[in-house]
Amino acid sequence: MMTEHNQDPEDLSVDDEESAAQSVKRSHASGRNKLSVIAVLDGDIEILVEKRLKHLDRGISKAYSARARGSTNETLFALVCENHLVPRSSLAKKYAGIMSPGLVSLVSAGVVYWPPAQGERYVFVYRNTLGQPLMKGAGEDGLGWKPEKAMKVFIEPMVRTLSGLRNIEMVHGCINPMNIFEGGADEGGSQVILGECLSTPPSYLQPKVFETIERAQADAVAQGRGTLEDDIYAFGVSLTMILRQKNPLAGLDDDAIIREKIELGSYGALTGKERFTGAILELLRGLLYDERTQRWTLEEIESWMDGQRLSPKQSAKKKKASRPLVFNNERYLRPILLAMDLNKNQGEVASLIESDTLEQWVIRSLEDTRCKERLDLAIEQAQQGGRGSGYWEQLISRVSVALDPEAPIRFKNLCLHPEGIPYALAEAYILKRDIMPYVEIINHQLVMFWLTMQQDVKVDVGNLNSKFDSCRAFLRQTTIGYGIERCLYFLCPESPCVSDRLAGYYVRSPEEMMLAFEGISESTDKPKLFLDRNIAAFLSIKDRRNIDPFFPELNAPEIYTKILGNIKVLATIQKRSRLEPFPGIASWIAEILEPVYERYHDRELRVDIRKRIEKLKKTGDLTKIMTVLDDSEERRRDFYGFRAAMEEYRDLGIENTELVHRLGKPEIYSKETGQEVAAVVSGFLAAIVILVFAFIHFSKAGGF
Amino acid sequence: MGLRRKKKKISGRGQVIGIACFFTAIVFAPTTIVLFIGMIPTIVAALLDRSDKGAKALTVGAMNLAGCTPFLIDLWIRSHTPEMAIKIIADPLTIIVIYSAAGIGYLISWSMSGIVGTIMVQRSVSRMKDIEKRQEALVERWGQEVTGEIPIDSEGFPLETEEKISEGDENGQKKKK
Repeated sequence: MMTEHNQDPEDLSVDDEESAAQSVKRSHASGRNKLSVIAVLDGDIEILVEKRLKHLDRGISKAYSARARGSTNETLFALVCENHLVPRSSLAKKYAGIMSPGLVSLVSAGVVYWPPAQGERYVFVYRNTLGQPLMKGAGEDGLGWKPEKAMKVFIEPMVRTLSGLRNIEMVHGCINPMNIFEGGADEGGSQVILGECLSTPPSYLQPKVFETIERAQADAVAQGRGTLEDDIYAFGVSLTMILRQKNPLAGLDDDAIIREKIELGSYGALTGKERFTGAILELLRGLLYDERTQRWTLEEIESWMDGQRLSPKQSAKKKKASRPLVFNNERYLRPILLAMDLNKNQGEVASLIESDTLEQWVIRSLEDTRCKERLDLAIEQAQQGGRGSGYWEQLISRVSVALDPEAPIRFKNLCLHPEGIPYALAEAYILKRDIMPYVEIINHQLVMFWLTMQQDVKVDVGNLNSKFDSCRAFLRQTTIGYGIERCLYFLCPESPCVSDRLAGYYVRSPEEMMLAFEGISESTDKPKLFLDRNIAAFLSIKDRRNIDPFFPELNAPEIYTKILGNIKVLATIQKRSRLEPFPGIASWIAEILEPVYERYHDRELRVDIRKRIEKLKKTGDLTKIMTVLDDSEERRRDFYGFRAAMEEYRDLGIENTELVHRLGKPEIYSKETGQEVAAVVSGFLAAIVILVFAFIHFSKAGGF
Repeated sequence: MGLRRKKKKISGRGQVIGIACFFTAIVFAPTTIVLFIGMIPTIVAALLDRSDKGAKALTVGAMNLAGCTPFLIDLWIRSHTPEMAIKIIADPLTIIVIYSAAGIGYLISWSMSGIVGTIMVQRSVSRMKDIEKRQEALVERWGQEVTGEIPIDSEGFPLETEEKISEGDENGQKKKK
């Protein structure tokens, strides 16, 4: 079965839209047993909850032994993702398509109920062909391999793997000796195997030393997907560590390592006093160029492996000023270092800018007219919004970008690559951190500014620009379905729905949300309504036809309209996705319908509708329930019935008043009505008498 | 003044009928003599009856006319002459009979007023109870708002019970008190 998975990546359930709902159905069907020691993925892979594989842990993502269902051979291992770190689930299918023995094979991925966490988790299941990692930590000394061994065991398989990644346009983002393993027993240990990269946001677990100077400055969660050149750089750093004997950066923290790289260049910082000679030196230099455009491409590496010798490129030095700028009691010669430290003293930055000291330093000492132009633009754009709240933060952020355009965006305490913002926002939202900085980044258009500052950028400028422009529009709307929640799901489609109402569930689609609600319906402390801002935004992004038509109802101030809006959305999802009946959700709906019943005037109709709903809830057909509740003809009849009843009540009141008035004067009856009756009686009697007399008289006279 | 006003209200058609009656009375003078003398109680009742409809005069008049009937028939059969009319009306028995009949009319008027008044009061009380019950039933079925005594919105629902929900309220079930 495992082989089948490897051979046919189409079997993967991950991100396969058609099978997504079925996948979760199976996940739900497998039960939510808190005491279970086996978690079942998609009904065919068993993850052994109590069997940890610590050496395969990926940071916060823990590794567990796994096996095909029914098999006793534990030839698989599962990485259980933590919910606050959005995994790269959308790449699972692509990843599984790589046919390289040098890369750990993905067998399956999806959502399981994870008993230790008592909630659902996203897991990746890989073939366990991995031996021990080449190194335990980035701070260790080198392995001291001979170039020949490195060539055979490390370089050749790694280049093949990188070629595989390039062919599917995927960036690994986590190439380092701690994630490169000796081949397992199956592989004979003759070559290394690159570990996985999907269980966390891109490069989240990549130690900073393996990142280029620019990317290393970004927060771990916000480095973005990167480029193949970044993978090649990480490959170069890994190779250096494998070859070298000593670690010249031992004991230094991430910040110090970055500064060392800036001062000495990556090659100098990583090799220290060690000297490499011959072909391997050429390769190392080529891989470790700090200037991305200078760095060797995969084709150049392959040419080198074929024996071609490439002419060394001139390494572009980082800009350095002739005279230092004193800031925060430090002397700065490089704008890149100044940009890194601007946040350390906001007050002094203000005086540097206001007094034109910074500008003068750039013109006279740095002699960089482009930097001067960027600086002017940064100050001008920051001033466009006025000197209101947040002015200095955004000015510092812009000045920082102007001084070092390739570095990530620095804003307050955040340091984000624009492509990494979605993951960072998701993490902040899930961990309930302050998300206002993200709102300000979007509102102040800092991403757009960063993009305009780039000269040779490897990101999709148009896409990023349009995405963050849309986010600004979302933030301007405060109604349900918009706001920062919509930005989150718009920017980060891989993010599960992070609503508190779906706590314990890993919801990636409207269909999964329905199944989650069906599960929640059994809980005693379930919320009153189904949809909150988060879920509404999530649904709107996933499929706007499910929810957008009902935004007016969901945004209404009246509770009954909100309830009807909620039910309409759920009924629409059930109908459009042709989902199974949801008796649990239907019962939940029946429990919250009191305000809706109260919108019928006729109490008898209320009872009747309540009875109908009680009957329908057992069927779990939300569309039928909605049909009963949304019958406009019945509402119209109820309204007119009420109006008629009001008129009848008023007429009765008038009649009652008249009767009270008459009873106050009973002689009215005797004088008027009594005499009228008397006149009738008298008339009747008189008529009889006259007729009798006439009859008698004419009878005697012989007239008849 | 009131009479004058009434006279003014007599329509043209009424005037024609009045003139026709006047000439008829001259032509049928014997009958007119008997009726004029015999119907005096009715004329008195009509003058005393202040109700708009003149029900009392009608009651007395009907019985009064019934009392006149045998004598009118006698007049018309024997000789329809003024002398005969005077002879008949001058007979005390005629007057007694005619006025007794009118008295019966008065009696009917008095007795029916009492009986009908009592019945009507009882019926009104009963109707008031029915109204109260019906109104209660309406309130029970359509709510207090059907009375029109509490402010309602355009859809007929009480304004004060319009519940607005805040985001905070949505997070949990309201505790039932």
